[in-house]
Amino acid sequence: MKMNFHPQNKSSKRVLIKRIIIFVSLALVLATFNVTHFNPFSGLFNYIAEPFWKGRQAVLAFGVDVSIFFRSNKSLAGENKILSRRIVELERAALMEGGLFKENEELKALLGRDTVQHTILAAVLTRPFLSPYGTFMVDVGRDSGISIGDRVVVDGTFVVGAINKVFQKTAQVKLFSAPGEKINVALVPSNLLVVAEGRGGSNFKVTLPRGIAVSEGDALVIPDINIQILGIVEKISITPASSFQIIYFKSPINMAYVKWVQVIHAL
Amino acid sequence: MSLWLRIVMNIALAGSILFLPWWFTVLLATVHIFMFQAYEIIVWGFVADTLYGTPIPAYYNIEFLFTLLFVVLIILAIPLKRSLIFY
Repeated sequence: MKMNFHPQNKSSKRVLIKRIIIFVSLALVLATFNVTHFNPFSGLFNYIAEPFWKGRQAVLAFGVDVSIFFRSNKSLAGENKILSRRIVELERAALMEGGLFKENEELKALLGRDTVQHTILAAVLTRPFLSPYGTFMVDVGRDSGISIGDRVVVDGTFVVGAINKVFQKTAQVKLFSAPGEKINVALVPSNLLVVAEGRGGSNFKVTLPRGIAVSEGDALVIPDINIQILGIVEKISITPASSFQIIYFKSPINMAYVKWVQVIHAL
Repeated sequence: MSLWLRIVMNIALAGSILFLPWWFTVLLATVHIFMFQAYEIIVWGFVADTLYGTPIPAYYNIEFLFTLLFVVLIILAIPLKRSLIFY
């Protein structure tokens, strides 16, 4: 008699059905978290990860201190000379810019505009390259008074992103250059308001009609009473068949090397 | 021995999520799934997404890219391992 029924077929079918049920349940749970933007585990995982991130920073800082002992006197002297020259150049530039900045602030004050910003210094705990999302973590959170939407700047002038999630002692920052992110910016010097789209890796693009004059080196800023530079135009792409031009611009800030940021807290 | 190796791989995955580029994490997870029947990479994917995930327009606002990718990896690995002479 031909055996159509084999015990192994039934058990492997059961295993397959079990797996399907598990995958479908997982998909439903993830979809719920995604749609509601609420993940009950995010606080817990951040709480566990935070000491590791801070530990890494401490180890790296110690490593930099120790590495100094292994450098030759000649290389240190050479680097010292280059850096001293650079400091003199930057001091001169800073004097001029300081004067212009002061004049700008005085004019704004005369016109009755308050330009004081409440900024909170934050250390960068993780780098954006840890994930494809274009996010990084900082070491200030709810206990420092920051909130979702607060802008994050580097060196007081270069805006990089905004606070996306806030935890007790840490916060997640989403870069404006995250793929597909859109932000309103002003093109300098024409002051034209445009929409910039993030392309990842501190890169952006803007699509404009061909007739609008744009040059490489022009700045794009966030329209605000205080100057906040988003990026500098690097390339302008014009195809003969198209009535548009695509402006590619990039933030001058490389987040891989940034250690400190300022969070501008809206009062 | 293989249990210890599996534990080491899990620790390496955790470390990769916390400190190393995301493509290295994916590579490590791929190696892990081919070394073992490692369904736990889905958990690690969920951890990575919970730590770093956010809706991104270019990715259709899906916050669980790592989790989905690792599920796909597992689904692909099962029949592939059966057909590979190495196994």
